[in-house]
Amino acid sequence: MNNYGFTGGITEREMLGGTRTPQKEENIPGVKEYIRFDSAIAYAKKLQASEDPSDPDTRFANDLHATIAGKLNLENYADLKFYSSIGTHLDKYYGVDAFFEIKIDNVTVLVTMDITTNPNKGDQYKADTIINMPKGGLDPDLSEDKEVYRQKIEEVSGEVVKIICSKYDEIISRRKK
Amino acid sequence: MKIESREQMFGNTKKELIHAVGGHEPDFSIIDRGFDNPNGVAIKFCSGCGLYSDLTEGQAVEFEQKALQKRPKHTNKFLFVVKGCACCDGDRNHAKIITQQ
Repeated sequence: MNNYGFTGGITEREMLGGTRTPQKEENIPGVKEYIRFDSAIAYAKKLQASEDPSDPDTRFANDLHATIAGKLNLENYADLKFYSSIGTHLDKYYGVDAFFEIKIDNVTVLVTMDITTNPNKGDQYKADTIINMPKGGLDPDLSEDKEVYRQKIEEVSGEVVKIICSKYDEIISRRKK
Repeated sequence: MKIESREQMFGNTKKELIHAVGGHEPDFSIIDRGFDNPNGVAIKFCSGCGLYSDLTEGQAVEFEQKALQKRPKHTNKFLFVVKGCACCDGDRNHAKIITQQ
């Protein structure tokens, strides 16, 4: 953060259609101030229970992080960071459960995610990508869930990589103009 | 272990206030970017933690009372500035209105 508060990069994110104003707010007690999007991102980063954003604590996030880093052929996995935003302003006002941040050269790209067990909600979501999870959950150690879990990681990581590449290209082409 | 909840997938966040280190300066260009809150009428900046919030009319009136100042009528280039907010441990008792020079 610079001395001007949490404003860096907002223009690029807004122009790229970053998440704004979900149709329905999550009811989260204690989260009452409508923090602006970039501030909500910065605040969520400071509230991480996991110590290292490039090595997420949960298995799902960790598998996702490693798969995305692999697909992007990253030399340094620390260039890709994962942040949960569950229970934060980002969750309540912008419908974002978690996000990835990656710095490529001088470009920072953010990909927001939202989890649902109801695939029929359609355009009520404002995150860059929606993760549809089976209602009963998944156990990656159970033989009957193993393949579905692997496919889910494959599907979500592919989507995130696609969005990273598309946003990166858009930012670069805008800078050239 | 079965992964069922959002927390099991992505992990928890802490429920705590961040430390208001202070010294942040407001960036007035944020006003030109419009409101993220569809009911926003003014922007509040916390110099304690550097966060910006969009205020509703009711909240703006509350901050006018704290600031003992009315919002300027001739320009929208102003910010409510506080030293502490709902996200940090800075002093929440005072506010002022700063207009862009």
